[in-house]
Amino acid sequence: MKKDELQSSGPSQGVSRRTFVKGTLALTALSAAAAAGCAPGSVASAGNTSRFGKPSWVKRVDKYPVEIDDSALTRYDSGNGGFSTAARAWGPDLTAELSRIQQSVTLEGVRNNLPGNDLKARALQHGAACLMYGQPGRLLYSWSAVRPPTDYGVGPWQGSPEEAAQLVKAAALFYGAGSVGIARLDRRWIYSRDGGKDLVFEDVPEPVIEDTRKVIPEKVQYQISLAIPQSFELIALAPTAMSSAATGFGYSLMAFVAGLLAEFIRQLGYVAIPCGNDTGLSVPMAIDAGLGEVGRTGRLITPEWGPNVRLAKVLTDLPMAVDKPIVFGVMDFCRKCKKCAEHCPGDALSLETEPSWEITGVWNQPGKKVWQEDAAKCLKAWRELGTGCSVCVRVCPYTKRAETMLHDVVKGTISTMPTLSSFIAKADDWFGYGVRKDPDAWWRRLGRSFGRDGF
Amino acid sequence: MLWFVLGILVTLGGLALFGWLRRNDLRPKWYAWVLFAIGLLNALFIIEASVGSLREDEAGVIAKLVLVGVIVLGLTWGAAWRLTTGRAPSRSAGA
Repeated sequence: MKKDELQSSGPSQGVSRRTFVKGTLALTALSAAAAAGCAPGSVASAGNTSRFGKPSWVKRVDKYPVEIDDSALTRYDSGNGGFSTAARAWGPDLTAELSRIQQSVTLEGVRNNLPGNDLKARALQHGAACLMYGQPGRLLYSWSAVRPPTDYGVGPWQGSPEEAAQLVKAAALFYGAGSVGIARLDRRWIYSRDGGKDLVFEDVPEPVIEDTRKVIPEKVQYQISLAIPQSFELIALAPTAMSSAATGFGYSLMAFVAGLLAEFIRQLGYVAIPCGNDTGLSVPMAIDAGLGEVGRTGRLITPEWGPNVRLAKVLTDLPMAVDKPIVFGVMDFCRKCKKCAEHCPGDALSLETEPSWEITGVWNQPGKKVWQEDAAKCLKAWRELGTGCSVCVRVCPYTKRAETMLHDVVKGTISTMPTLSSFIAKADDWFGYGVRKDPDAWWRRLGRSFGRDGF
Repeated sequence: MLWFVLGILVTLGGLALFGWLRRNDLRPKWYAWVLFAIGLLNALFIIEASVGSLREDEAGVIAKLVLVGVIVLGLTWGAAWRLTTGRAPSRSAGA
């Protein structure tokens, strides 16, 4: 098993001569097709996209693209999340030991100026994340208008659902979303309890947070899912405090984008509830809204940025035209690839070829046939690393910046010719993708504004 | 800009190639042209991917991209060369 080591140069795997020749021939065919203008669409070349704004190798489907057992699926209590329950799985002794290790590793990094975990790295991390500390329902995540909507005497904005969807998407992209999708609100993905309060739907005009309950109006029938790309350059440094800066900045941008979009909708005269990780399960909601597919890590894999995104959502009663779920070969590819699980420092990801109904703990929502992550093992690795991890994001073959059509050709090939998936996963290693970069070099190379190096 | 520069280079290279073929009285078969075109497209693709990889801070990828590209280029252009120059002497002998 390949383990990701802190000082390793990352993945490396031999490729046989036969595989190499096979790949050379495949690359020849692909390069010929690409250079002849048959290359699949890309983020960089937006002109070559399908009618619904995704690359041409992405297909829309009518049905949720994961097997669901409705008899087992129940609304999730966010109190069962890994951050709340991992310590229970560890037991008090291990929990205390892990806290001691985390503190020791953190201090060692700062005091010994370890690249990626020194003082400037920690400062970058905490600066990036400072907007994420707005609690659900407060500040940017406020459930009520920040500025009371002006009464112009014309009532709420009126238009067709298609026009409403266009307005919302234009505003979301303007505020900083990488991609945006809209779906009918599926209440199965809304938490049963959140932040120690019951989440209920009632016939009320406005959403309200009470002492023991959070009340969502019955008329809230739509959800807008937002994908916020993270810095590729920083994620390439995982697992360090600097890759945690990418994650933390993603969280800050989630609050920023969702909060501003919710306020936009309120100013149109409708109800809007901005959410980060709170209120509902972001991944299935984003799948409903056509932003991507679920992968082996349990995270969303987007066609544009792979798993290197954070997700936010806005719930609203503004009637909008909805998007459909999309597929582009992720589940098939993940069956064969397994790079994330092989490199996971905590052995938290499933190495099984097929997804499973069997949950690994209370942190998983039952009733979904997916690769089930072991959150206790994942968070144990975080403690031991003294920082967030993100190794699974770094090594995923879908985590690619859009600076060359090569990645679009490869993703298009995965989508249309799944028999080449095993070869592509091996070639990704052979080419040297997913290798951890030098943290100190990041400071010398002035990156792009807002860390938007994936655009 | 990259494609502009490559376009100029390909045009100049193409003119030089046609001139050389005419001077040497060589008339490649259609399949030699196909092989040549595949090699050329492969070369352009590898150049684009290498420049993109540099932007992506994936300099380590470039060497392997170039290795694969050179192999494909050698195979296609080598075959086209042999197909073309290999039959030239017999044509002039028959003339």
